[in-house]
Amino acid sequence: MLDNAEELMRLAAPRISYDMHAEAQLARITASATHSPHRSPATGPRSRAVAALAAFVLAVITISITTVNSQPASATTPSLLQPQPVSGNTGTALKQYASLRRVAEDSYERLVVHTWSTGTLVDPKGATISQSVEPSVRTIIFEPNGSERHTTVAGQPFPGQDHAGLREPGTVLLDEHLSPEETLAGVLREPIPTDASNVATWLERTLSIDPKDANAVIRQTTGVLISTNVVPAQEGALLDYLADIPGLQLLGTVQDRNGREGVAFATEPDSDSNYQVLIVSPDSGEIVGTETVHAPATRSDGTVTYYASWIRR
Amino acid sequence: MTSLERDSPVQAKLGPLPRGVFDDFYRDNYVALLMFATSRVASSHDAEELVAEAFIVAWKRHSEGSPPDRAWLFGVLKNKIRDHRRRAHTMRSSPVAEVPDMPIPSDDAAAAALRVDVQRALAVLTDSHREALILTYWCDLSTHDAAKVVGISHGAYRVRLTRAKQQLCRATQEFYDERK
Repeated sequence: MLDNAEELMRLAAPRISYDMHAEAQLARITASATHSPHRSPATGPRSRAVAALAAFVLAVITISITTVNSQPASATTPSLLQPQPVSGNTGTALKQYASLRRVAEDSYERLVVHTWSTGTLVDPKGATISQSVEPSVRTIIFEPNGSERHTTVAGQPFPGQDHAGLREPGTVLLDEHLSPEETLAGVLREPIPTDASNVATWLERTLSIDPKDANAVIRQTTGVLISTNVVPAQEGALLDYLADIPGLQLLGTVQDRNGREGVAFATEPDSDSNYQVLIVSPDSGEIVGTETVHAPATRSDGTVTYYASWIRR
Repeated sequence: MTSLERDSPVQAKLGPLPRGVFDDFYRDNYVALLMFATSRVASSHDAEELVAEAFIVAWKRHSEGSPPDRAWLFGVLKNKIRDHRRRAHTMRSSPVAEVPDMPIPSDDAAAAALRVDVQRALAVLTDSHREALILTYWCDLSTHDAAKVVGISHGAYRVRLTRAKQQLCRATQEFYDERK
């Protein structure tokens, strides 16, 4: 063996394998690559904010690489929203909500985001890395100097959810203070534009997504909406933009995860049979939530795999 | 920007590529890149960051419609490692310092001891010989791709690799004999 360099090198090779950390890095890279030099989640100055966006992206990615036979059973996921059909044109409705949103009150200091997700993360060889069922409530307090306080606590399980293994609701999972440069707003190279004509460029440059892909637009902008202080003009521009891209459909009125009346719009399922739901307040035009539904057969037989429902105060 | 980070003028711009193409490329190459980086910088944490930075460059390139290219990506990583070492002043005068801190599994005592011999042998090789062995045997690059990364002709790379193998075997034998 001592005269076989190849064998010697194999013997001395570092033990490195593809793991969940590597998969999380992939999510961060594709979510934030256009912004700044990457830092790892443990110590990088911008990492925690990037992680906030990546955490959402990862949740979606876990679903996209879930093997067919490991999709969650319907009994363990929240019920599908039940839209009550309404008449109207998707584009027209979104533009009306955009107009409504633009004249809304300008600012809020606190964002409370209720999220739930499930996913089975599998490695490239098909082995299960992790499974998660996580209700959580994240509160972000936006401070005048641009810093933010993030507090995440365990959330209430949805009706019918098995409580076993879940932490007591209210258990603090994360409590941290971010300096302005550590926040997602600080990490993003550019904020959401206030002019709809600039949104496509922003999506390409800042989120690195195809601006005509409605699934990607809703999926990725959710990460921004649940992590930054978005002013009405920005959200109005986003709604105006969504009104003009193909693939969105007006579903009808719904009661959202926080018990509020909303109007739901849905995308066409992507290649992984996941579609996105966008929920808008009919009173204010505010975007109040998004959901991801895995629907390999029909839309009405889908399984909710992620939702975010937020309240701004 | 170095020549390796520049898009080839003959490389067609194809428009946005499917996201899955990049994901597959990342998953197929992550371990090999981390192997390379781990062998070149002292901190595994820094190695992970440099690999991430290289993939960020690849992601930007992918977003512009350029298909993934393994040798190109290793070139990007190599440049980032070089810049990192300059910044951090981690160019060590002693080649032993180049050896990463590799955990030794407690599988078989003889194999573990031999592994240390090989690591010590790697440490006394020249940087270019060590690099050739790592690119070929740890990163599984073809000799054509490895030659591109190193920036020499294929023929010259093969000669270098042959010499590196001879040097590795000789040095390992010496450490092995010394231990016995």
